[in-house]
Amino acid sequence: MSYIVLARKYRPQSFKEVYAQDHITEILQSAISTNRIAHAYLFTGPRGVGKTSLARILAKSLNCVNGPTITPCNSCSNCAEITAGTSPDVIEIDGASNTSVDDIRELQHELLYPASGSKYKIYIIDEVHMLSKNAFNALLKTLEEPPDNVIFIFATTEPQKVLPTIISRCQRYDFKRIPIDSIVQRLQEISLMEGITIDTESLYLIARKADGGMRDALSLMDQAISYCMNNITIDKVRQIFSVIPNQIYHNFLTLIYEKNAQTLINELHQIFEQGIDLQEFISGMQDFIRILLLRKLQVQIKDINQDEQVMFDELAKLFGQNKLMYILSYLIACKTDLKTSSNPYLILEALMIKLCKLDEMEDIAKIIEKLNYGSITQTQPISNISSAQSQPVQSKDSTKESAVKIPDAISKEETTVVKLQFTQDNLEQLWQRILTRAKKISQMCAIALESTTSKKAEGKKLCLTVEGNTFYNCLKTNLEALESSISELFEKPVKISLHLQETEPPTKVNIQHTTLEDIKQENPEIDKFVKLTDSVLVKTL
Amino acid sequence: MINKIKGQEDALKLLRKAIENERISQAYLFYGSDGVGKFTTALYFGMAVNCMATNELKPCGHCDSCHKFLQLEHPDFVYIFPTPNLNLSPEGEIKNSDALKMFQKYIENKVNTPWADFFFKDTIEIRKESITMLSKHFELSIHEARYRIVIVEDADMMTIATANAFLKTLEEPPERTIIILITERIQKLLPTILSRTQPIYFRPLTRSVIEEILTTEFEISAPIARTASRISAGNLKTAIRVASDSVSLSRNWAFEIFALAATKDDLGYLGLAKAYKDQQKKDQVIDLLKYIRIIASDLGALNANFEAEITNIDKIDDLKAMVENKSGIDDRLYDFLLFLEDLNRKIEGNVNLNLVMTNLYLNCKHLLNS
Repeated sequence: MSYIVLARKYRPQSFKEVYAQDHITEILQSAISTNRIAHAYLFTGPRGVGKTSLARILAKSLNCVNGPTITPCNSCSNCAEITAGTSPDVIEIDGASNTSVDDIRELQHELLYPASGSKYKIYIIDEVHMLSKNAFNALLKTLEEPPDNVIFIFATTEPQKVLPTIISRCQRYDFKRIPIDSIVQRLQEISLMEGITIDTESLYLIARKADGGMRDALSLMDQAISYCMNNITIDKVRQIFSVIPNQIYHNFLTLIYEKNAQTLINELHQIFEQGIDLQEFISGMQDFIRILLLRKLQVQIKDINQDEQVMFDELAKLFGQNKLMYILSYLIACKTDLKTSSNPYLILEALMIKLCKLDEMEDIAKIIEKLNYGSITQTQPISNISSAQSQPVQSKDSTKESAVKIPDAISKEETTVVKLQFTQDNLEQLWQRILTRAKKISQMCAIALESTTSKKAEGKKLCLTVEGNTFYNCLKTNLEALESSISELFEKPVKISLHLQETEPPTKVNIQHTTLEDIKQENPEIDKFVKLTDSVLVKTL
Repeated sequence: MINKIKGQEDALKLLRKAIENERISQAYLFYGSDGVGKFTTALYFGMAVNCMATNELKPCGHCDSCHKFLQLEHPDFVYIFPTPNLNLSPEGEIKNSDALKMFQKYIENKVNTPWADFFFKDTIEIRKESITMLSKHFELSIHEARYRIVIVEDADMMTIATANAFLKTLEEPPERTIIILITERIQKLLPTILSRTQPIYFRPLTRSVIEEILTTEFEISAPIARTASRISAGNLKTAIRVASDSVSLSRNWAFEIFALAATKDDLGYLGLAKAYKDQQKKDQVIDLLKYIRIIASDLGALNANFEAEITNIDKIDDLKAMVENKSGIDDRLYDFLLFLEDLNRKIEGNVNLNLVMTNLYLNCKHLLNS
């Protein structure tokens, strides 16, 4: 007898062995004990969470000699046959191989015969999402009103591919991903049964890597056992799954903190030499920084054990939250670059150098803050920023709405600004801000204002000369709004007087054709030449 | 024989331990980039569990079983790979006669020159009929082997229907059966497939390993082997292809471009562009870029007096002449390398190759002359 993998050997054989799906097993158990058994079930959920296993357990509970019972005996002939997959009354169909309407018709013919040796005739259709649309439709009538004592159990990972008409005829049960704790618990039980010692760190590593699938976990466990036999230690497990120890990431981040680019690159080359998958390296680093960030926010994480926590906390102190976010965003960008690059090593080297120089790139929040302090002297950048803020809010047709939202942004900035006298100099200085304000009234208005040919401050009046009727009209319609918004900037209210500059009609241009005579007059030499050779002007330019 | 596989110590150790501890899994997934020995390892693993030799070093490569495996003719060995439509019957008979010839050629190529890629003319994928054939095969008992071996190459080329049809078989194959899936693109496989297998990672070969294989197995001279190992990025297939072009056209091309750029001979470049007009194809320009990249990094190494790091040892005098009295190359080099990366991406996006070449020349000129 050859070796059987753990995932098959320890396939759950009773309800209580199905882990972390209590919400389903409880309902099914009570349904069985109260004898309210539906004729069609649909089990959905990600890979390796127990859909097929539960389908078989359900079949056993119903067809067991003592059945229907919530504790199938697993020893009677019916149970044994179901476990071995040879029961004549529990038919397991691979939905992905038998997808056509003909397969369904065949099934329907078989339905005519009652169960041979047990109470129910049970059809388990696995990977049911692969059935063709026609096959599904052929099944509909049968599924709605099947013959007595026929039960269908469908299992699939992709319920969205199953027709809604099918789903509505079934009792649907959504399986959940299995949490890390439950996987660890199950692995521990199995290691006891197999007589294997394994440390908790390895268990957690395997459980994390399994990503919510019990079968994944057992496959990985299998691999670990086949490598180490009876004594599994974290070092060996890391080696098998080529997991990069946290210590290496710790080194990397310390070097980034110290801005030691040279050593960093050397470390990186060692990683290259070890032939570690670079994608894996980057995602490992992302995970590491995620934990750092969470630790910084004082979040308790189950992923790491107590010993490492101190290391993370110390490292977290070195970096600001923003910096960690930056590093993280660079890593994410780098990961996509890696996929397309023909020279991934180069990309990583460039990334590391960039991370070392991170401090030279200043924090945007700080830059804005600085600008705010110096706002009286540097009015221009502020108005740029406020315009940048307002742009995303502004929508094409609802200028009113945006006008309502923006004032508080402006007032925040401008509380520090002293209102200025309305003079020509101040006008020039504040012109950019006036434009920004105009933009909030309407985009067109700002353009019109920008293209004024002259602007003068005369007493309380702002004299604008506009070229072109369109701009003139635009300003005229928005005159009041403009006046009030400009007035806010100055000590006293400002009136605007508009002048339309008459554009001159295009002047007529006389196009002169040069004649032979002209040329002759221009240059006596040519005159001579023409006379001598009797030349004629062929074409004038 | 197993020692012939180099640079995959971890994977081999894992498999050897599995045999020693008698815990051979029913399904493995070998993943890693192309040309690092996945198929060879899979085949040797299959041979090792079936080898009839009495000594420890399995597979022996001489016994009856090993011989049949090496010829890919063992009755208990199923080899599935992406093919054009073979019109395969469930019994494994190929009804499409054209495809049959191609199929035979593919097998022949795989047996004799496994490092060369064989390209089918039509679009290829792993079809559902192959899996149907496999399931039929599994219903029969094993002929003579200890373990029935199934190798599915380029498993990511399975259509969605194929992959789904494979799931049940993969989860519960008959006893004494080993299914080995091979893929370069693990992320393209269904999670339901991944969860049913034991994944084993094959790392890219290091430069020294490739150099060693090229010089000992293929009797290639050291400088060429060295260049080939740098270009290949851990892929032995590429390395062999590069090294076996006795006079590497792309390499000369790259050097000529650099020579002209160094002397600012624009007119000469136009002549060169004309001479290499036929070579100006997408794949070859990408090849060229690889060489340019290596030359550029050589220049950088020379500039920093790292003579040991230099790849193009035979051309060292030319390189030295280029670097001499040119200050600031190392500053520009970084930008140049990024430029090459960008160019590579653009070529993949089908831009005008004439413009690419001119751009490349001008940038080379800028690199060499401040």
